[in-house]
Amino acid sequence: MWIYLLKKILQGPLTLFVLLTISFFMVRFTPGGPFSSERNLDPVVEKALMQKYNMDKHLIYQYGDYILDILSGDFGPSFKHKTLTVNEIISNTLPPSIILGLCAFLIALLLGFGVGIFAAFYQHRAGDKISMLFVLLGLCIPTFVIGPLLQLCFAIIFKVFPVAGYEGFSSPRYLILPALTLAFPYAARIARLSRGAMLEALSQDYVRTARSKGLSEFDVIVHHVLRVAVLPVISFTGPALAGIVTGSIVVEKIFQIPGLGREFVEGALNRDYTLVLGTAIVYGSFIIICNLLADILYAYCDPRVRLS
Amino acid sequence: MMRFLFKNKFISINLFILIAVMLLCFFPFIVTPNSPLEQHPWISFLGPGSSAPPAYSTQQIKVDESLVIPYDALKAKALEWKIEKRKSYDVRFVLRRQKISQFIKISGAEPLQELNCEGGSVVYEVLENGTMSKVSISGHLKVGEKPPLYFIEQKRRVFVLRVFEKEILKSVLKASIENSNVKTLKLNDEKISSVTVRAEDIISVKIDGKLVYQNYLFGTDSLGRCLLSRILHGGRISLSIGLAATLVSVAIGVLVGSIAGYLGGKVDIWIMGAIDILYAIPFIFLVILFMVYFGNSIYILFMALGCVQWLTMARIVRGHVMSLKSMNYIDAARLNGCGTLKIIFNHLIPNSTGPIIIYATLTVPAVILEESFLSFIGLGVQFEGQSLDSWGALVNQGISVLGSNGERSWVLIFPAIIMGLTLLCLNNLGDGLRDAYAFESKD
Repeated sequence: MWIYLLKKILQGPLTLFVLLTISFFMVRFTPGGPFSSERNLDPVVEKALMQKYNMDKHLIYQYGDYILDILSGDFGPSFKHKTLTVNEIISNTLPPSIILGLCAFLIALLLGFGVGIFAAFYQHRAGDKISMLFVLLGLCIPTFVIGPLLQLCFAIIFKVFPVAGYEGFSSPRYLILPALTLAFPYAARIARLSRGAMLEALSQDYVRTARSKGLSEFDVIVHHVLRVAVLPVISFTGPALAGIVTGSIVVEKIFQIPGLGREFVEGALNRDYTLVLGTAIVYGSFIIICNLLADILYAYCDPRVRLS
Repeated sequence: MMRFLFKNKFISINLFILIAVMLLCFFPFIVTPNSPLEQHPWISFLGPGSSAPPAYSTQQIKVDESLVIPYDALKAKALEWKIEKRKSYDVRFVLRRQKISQFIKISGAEPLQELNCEGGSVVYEVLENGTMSKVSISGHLKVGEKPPLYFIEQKRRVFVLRVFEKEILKSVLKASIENSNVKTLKLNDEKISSVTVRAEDIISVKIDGKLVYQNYLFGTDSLGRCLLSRILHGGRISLSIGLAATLVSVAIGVLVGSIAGYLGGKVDIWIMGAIDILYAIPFIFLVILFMVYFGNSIYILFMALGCVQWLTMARIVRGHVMSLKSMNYIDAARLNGCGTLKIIFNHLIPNSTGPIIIYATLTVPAVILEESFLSFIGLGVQFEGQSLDSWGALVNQGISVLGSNGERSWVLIFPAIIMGLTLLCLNNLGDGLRDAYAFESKD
C-alpha cells in the first residue's frame, strides 16, 4: 500500500509541473503581448517595460526565473492591474471560490448519493423513474441555463433567496442558489453512479446471505451495501472537483460572486500572463490535492487496490 | 446488438427523435421557409405561433419594372399593401456640461429651440448600430436645460432621437402584375409611377385578394429573426462541431490506446502515466489557452475540444485491446508474420468498434455542452457574418434578454429545449448501446 501511496503522492507535483510548463509556453507564444492592445508604445518605453517585467531575456531564463519564484511563493506582478500583485488578487478572490466549491461539492455528494440510493431502493417503481428523470435533466441542461432558471424561480417569483451577490460565510443565504446550480450536474452523475453500484451490490450473494440470516433491511444496506456503493463515487470525486472548478467560472458570472474564475477568464482574454499562470497553478494544485485525498480514501475503502 | 437496441421502445423513440432533429437541421426548409439571417427589428420579440406580414427590406416599386420581393406567388395578378405611416423626423442634440446645447433637425439642418414631445408622439433613440430603443420623455425638452436622467447616465454626448408624431397616415397601395412586371401602381386609388415602401410600415399584404402571412412558429428574437430557423441552422453548427471534435478525439484516442494496449510494458506505463497527469488538469484551461493562442476559428475549436476528450477513449480502447491481445487470431497473425502496425490496424481496431462507437456517442453531447460553455464565456465561434450561432450562443442570447418577470422567455426556452432534447437522446442512445454491448458480451 505504501508504494501505491508513494506513486500517487509523487504524481501530484509532476502533474502541477506539466500544467505549469504547458501554460507558460502556450501563454508566452500567444501572438500579441500584454502591451500590444493599448496605444502604440514608444519603443524606448516598451523596452523599459519589458525590462521591468523581465521579458527581455531569453525564454528559458524567464522560465527558470518563474519556477524559482513559484517555489518561493511569489506569483509576480499582474500585467494588467498595475497596482496589484497576483498574490493579492488571488488572496482576495480565492475564499469565495473555495467556499462555493466546497459547498457545491457537499451538496453534490449528499444529493447525488441520496437520490442514487433512493432510486436503487425503489427500482422499477415510480421512485426510480423520477430519479432517473432528475439525472437526465442534470446531464443535459447546461449550468448557465439552470442558474438563471433557479434565479427566476426562487429569487424573483418566490423571493426565498437573494438573486445574486456574496456576503461571506456568515450569510449562507447567498451561497445556496449558486452552490445548487454548480452541484446539479455532478449530483446527477453521482446519482447515476451510486445507483448502478448499489444495484450491482444488491444482487450479490452476500446480501442474500445477510438477509437470510435475519438482518433488517436497514442493517444490510448500511453495513454491507453502502461501502461498495460508495466506491465509484469516491473515484469520481476527482473529475467532479475538476468540473466544479470549471463550472464555478460560469456560476460566478451569473450570480456576481467575486471569485477567482472571473479573474482567470479576464486574464486569459487580456493576456495577463502572470495572473493566468497563477490562477492555473492554484486551481491545479487544489484539484491535485483533492485527487490525492480521493485516492487515499479509495485505497482505505477498497482493500483490493492496496494488494494489487 | 442492434436487435436488442430496437426491442427497447424507449431507445427507439430516442433514435427517431435524433434522426428527426438532424434531418431538420440539415434541411430546415421542411418546416420553415424563413431565413435566420434577415433582420426585421420592427417585429422583434414576437411570441411563439405569431405571424407577421411578409415584408422584406425597404424597397422601391416602379411601374414597368419587376418586383424585387421574393414572394411565393409571383405569378399573382394583383398585390395590395396596407401601409400605416407615422410622420417622423430625426433630431440630433449635443450635451454640453450636462445641458442640452442645441437641437438640430437632421433633415434640412434646421435648428430648433425646443422639442415638443406631447400629444401622443413616441420618441425613440437611434443607436449607432441602427437599432432603436424607446425613450420615455414627457413634456418639452428645451435648449439650455438638463435632459432626463437617462441621457446623462449614458456617458455619451451626442444623441439622435427619432420622433414619431401622433397622427397615423393610412394608405393602401395596389399593384397589378403582368409577367412579373408591375403594370399599374395605385396609392389610395391615385395612379403613381413609383413609391418607396418601408418594410416596417406595412401592416398587411394581400396577394390576389387573400391575406398572406409569414409564420413564426417559435417567435422572433431581439432582431426579429425567426427563432425556429435560427435554432435549426444553429443545430447544423452544433452538431457538426460535436461530430468533428468527436472524430478528432476518436482518432487520437484509438491510436494512443491501441498502441499502449498492444505493446504493453514500458510504453504502456509511460502513456498511462501521461494520461493520468492530463486527466487531472481541468479542460477549461487548455481550451481557453488554445482559443486565445490560436484565435477563434472553428477548426481550432474542433481540435481543442477533441484534444480534451481523447483521454477517456484512449483508456477504453486500451482496456479492450488488452483483453483482445490474448485471442487466438492475434497469435495466428503474428505467426504468419504480421507486423505490429498491421495487427493493430487490421485486427485489433476493427474488433474494438463496439466500445469505440459507444463512447463516441457519449462524447458528442459532452462536446456540445463544452462548446456552449465556451460561447457563454465569450470564446465561442463566430460564423458567416455574425448571424449564425450555435445552440450555446442562442441559449446565451436567450438568457441575456430574459425579463425580470419571465418576459420574453421563449427566446431562452425553445433553444434550451431543443438542445436538451438532442443531448438527452444522444446520452440515452449511448447508454442503450452500452447496455446492449454488455448484454451481448455476457453470452
